[in-house]
Amino acid sequence: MGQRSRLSVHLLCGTLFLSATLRPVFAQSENRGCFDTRVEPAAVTSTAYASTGAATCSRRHPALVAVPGRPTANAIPTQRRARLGAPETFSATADVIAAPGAATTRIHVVIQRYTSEAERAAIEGALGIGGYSAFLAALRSSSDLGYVEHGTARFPIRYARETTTDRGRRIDVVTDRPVFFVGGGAPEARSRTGFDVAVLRMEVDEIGFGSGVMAAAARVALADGAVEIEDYAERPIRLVTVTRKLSSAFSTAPRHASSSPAPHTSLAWTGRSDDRKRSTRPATTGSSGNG
Amino acid sequence: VIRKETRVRFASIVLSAVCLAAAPQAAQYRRVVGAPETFNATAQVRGPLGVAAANIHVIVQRYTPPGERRAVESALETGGYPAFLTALRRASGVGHVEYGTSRFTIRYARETTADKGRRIEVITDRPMYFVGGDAPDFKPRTGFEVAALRMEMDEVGMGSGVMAAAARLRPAPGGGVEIDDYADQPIKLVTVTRVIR
Repeated sequence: MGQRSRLSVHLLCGTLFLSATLRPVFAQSENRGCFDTRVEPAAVTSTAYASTGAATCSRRHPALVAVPGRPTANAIPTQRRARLGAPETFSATADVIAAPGAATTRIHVVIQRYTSEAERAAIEGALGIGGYSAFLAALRSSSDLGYVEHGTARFPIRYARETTTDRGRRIDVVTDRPVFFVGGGAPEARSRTGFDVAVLRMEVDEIGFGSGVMAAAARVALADGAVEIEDYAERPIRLVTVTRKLSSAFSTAPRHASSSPAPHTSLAWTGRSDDRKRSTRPATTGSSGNG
Repeated sequence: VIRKETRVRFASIVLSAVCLAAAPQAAQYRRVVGAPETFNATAQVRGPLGVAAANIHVIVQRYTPPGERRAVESALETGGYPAFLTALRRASGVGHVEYGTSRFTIRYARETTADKGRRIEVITDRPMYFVGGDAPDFKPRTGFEVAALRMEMDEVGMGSGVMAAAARLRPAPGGGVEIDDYADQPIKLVTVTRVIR
């Protein structure tokens, strides 16, 4: 009887001790579990992932998460941020869904560097002062920053800008000629005149996954301080499953874009009629300082 | 053993009844086939750039009468494509192809018997779509003034086919008709179905 009561006391003490010890650990693991994207999901691209890599099973082994995770957690964002940015490549599936049917294709966006602050100011200033024709001239005289690849065709990027958002980054890209005239194959297709550029917007998270929209043939105008995009297509092309290629994530090439933060010009999309007008304002929560 | 025999007999009776019932239906079906009739098809294009698909409807009110058909065919043989176009556009409308909200008048529709059922050929009096014409550096569209469809249907009303959504025609050297398609490859008509009313 005495032995039993001693055993019970030991078990009780043991349970209390374990629960007291593990409660904060479980709490930590629940808050910063391996599936929690609030905590350094971009560790995928960093060497620190090796230590948190075991955390994919954190519910089973909470101690493995909490202890090694803590010292590396602060190092991960620094490493990740150092590796993000140009040069980088994104692949995307472009989807068009319209009344008569649907089409899908693959595109690749290769950004060698982001537009410098001076060039950005020149292009945006040209649009504000001289309108679309001045914008086109400024865009085409600015330096080549990469290209958009569609099939075997490459379309030079003359404007590329990244801004930080709540969920990661927003990347705006403008090419110096149209990529595709959606609906342009119809016998009574509208005139292509004036649709001289293509505009892409991608929203990617910290890992490099995201989505976006694309006006494959567009013209731009300034309205109420915001850049308005008129799309040739009835509706913008959806960029689904945008992925950042890992090869460029490990690139050690220096970043060329300027570092001074600047307010981002917001973009507003318009289709053929007013009911298709879609505004993306407010454009950003802040600038990443990459141009 | 008796139960088994009964079951077998019952099954054979049911089977014979089904066969007897089906025989006049098949005869009826053959009588029902023919214009006016409607076909639904999924048009599919696969290329190096991607995949596109659309639904089209082919409504044949009647097939081109032999007199008109011969006039159109001989115009192509004797006068070439310009004469063919004139003859085609002079021929009466026998239905239409529906794509989205657009309708394209059929001026030539012909059905012939094939091994598995029927072959239906349709020509519209204007092009339906210039596949590849969406690209910035598209090739000239001049001369591609009709659309041509061919569907192979079985007796049930299922089939497949091909379509040149923008085409021009010329007499083939060895006889027959050669279709010059604007697209790099013809559009496939997959899962063609005859609409049952």
